[in-house]
Amino acid sequence: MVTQVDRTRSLGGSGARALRAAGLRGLLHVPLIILAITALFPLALLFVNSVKSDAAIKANAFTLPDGLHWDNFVHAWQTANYGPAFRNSLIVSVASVALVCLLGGLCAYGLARFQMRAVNIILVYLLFSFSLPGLLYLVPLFILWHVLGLIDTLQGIILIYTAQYLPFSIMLLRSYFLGLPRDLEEAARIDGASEFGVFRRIIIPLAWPAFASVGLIVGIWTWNEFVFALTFLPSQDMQTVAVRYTSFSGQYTQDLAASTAAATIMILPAMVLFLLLQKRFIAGMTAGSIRA
Amino acid sequence: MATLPQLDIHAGARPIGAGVARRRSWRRRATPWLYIGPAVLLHVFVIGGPAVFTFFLSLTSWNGFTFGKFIGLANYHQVLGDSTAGAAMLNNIRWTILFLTIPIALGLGSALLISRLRSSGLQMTYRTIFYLPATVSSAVVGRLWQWIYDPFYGINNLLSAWGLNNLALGWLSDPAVALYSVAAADNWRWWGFLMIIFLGALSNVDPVLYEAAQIDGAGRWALFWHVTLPSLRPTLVFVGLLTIIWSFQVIELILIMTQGGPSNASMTLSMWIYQQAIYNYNPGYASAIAVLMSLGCSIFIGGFVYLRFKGWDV
Repeated sequence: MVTQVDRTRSLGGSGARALRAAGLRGLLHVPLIILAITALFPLALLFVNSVKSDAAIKANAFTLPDGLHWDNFVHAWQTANYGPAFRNSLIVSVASVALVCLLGGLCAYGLARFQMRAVNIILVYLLFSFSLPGLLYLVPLFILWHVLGLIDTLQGIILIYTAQYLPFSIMLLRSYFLGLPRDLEEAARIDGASEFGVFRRIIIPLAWPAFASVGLIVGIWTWNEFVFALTFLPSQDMQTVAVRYTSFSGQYTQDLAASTAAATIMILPAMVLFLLLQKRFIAGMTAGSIRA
Repeated sequence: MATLPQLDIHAGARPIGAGVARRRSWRRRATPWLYIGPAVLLHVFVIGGPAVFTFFLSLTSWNGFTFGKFIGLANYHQVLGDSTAGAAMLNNIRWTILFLTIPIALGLGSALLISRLRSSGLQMTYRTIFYLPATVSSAVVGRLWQWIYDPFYGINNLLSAWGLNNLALGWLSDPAVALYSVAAADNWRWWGFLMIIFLGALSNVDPVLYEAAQIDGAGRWALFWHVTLPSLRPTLVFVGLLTIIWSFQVIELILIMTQGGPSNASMTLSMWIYQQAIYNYNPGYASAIAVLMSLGCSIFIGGFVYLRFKGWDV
């Protein structure tokens, strides 16, 4: 701001003009603040209601808390049976992220470094797979999983998530690999490193920011996904948090205090992870989507 | 990649070890597939294969007595006369038009405003706030907005307290507004993502272009029309494509909030497919709708790929 004022003055403008420029700049905040309120209001509503008593929510959801009913959270955790659900969600998210990074990383490296006609074909295949609605293959996949005995198993849903998030991850990692300098790889090859040695020793350390982005994005997606989890994990003990939450809040629509508290517990891990690592997350989001 | 031609020369220069060279070149040729193969195989196994199998499923009938009986194109014939599918299609088109305008305008507008802010701290703050709803699971977004729309304890309380009784609509129960209520909830958690994409694209615009235009005496609007918008064109095309495809596949919030109701007012193609497959145990018919829907989406993707290969900068 100071530099702005100085510049206008040195150009021979009056102080009034600088002030007006500053005022105009302040006007930018009006729409931004309105948008910020609309973005935050529903979330604030959820958090505030999660510590209100059920009766208070039903009387009016748009009031401040009648007291801090932290026991809502304990009650929600127990009745929603969140213990096993959190364990399941953690296993599913971590395993999916690991598999996506491993298989996606290898594939992206292959697609970035080898020149074959097949590379273009595979890239088009991956691009087309974006347009495949989940519901196009849900039914045959269900039959296949039934035959293989993978319904109601965590391995089953991990394989599905890995396959679903591979195209996005491969596109993102590939565009990152394409931007890496080749010199180090060539040097390692001259030193006698194998193709895989180059990948492990050179590419992975250089490209870890891209892997971190993929891991974060896929982690949050798998944590939140529920249509496939709902269909492929029918029994309660196997369900992820998103599915537990959906069926719990459906059954207990009468107990709004428990529902709002359960919702808060469900979204906090993903939200905190995003807030802590948002730079990485956003960098990944933009890099992957624009170059696809 | 650079090693491939080198090795060919190498192999040609020493005809004695022809067998070894052939074996080695076979290994060379197999190497890329060791990298690319596992991911592609898994994808084909889980998604590609079943997607193709859906086509065969769409030629069969499953109504309690017939388990997978081949009935030719009868399902497709039925889709053409299915008024619910028609209504769903129309809703998908409404949804597409809504999402091609409002979230893109909000995302681009806020990105332009944010990029004009001087303090990077403020830029970060707005960016974070606007993106925050996108980290919330659809399961929670759906329930949260159901509460907001609830006729007894929801937003209508507030509206009538302010004397705005006319605005206290039956958000999810009135067939005229239900679809738009769900769309509003979806837009709430969607436009922040577009803002992030547009911010990324704006930061890639070459500053030299702006300087050159300013030297030529271009005003603020001229800068926007002649520098910013053309530079954003590839991003806009990509976002438009993404919006069309995702609008035709939309299901999550509808599944949670309305299940397509009241009386199909918020039915979409994906919701109709889900109902047919999961609730009506009619996978054959569901598959026929899914195949038609995917063909529609593929036309857009195909056009995009074709233009790319033609060398268009889209």
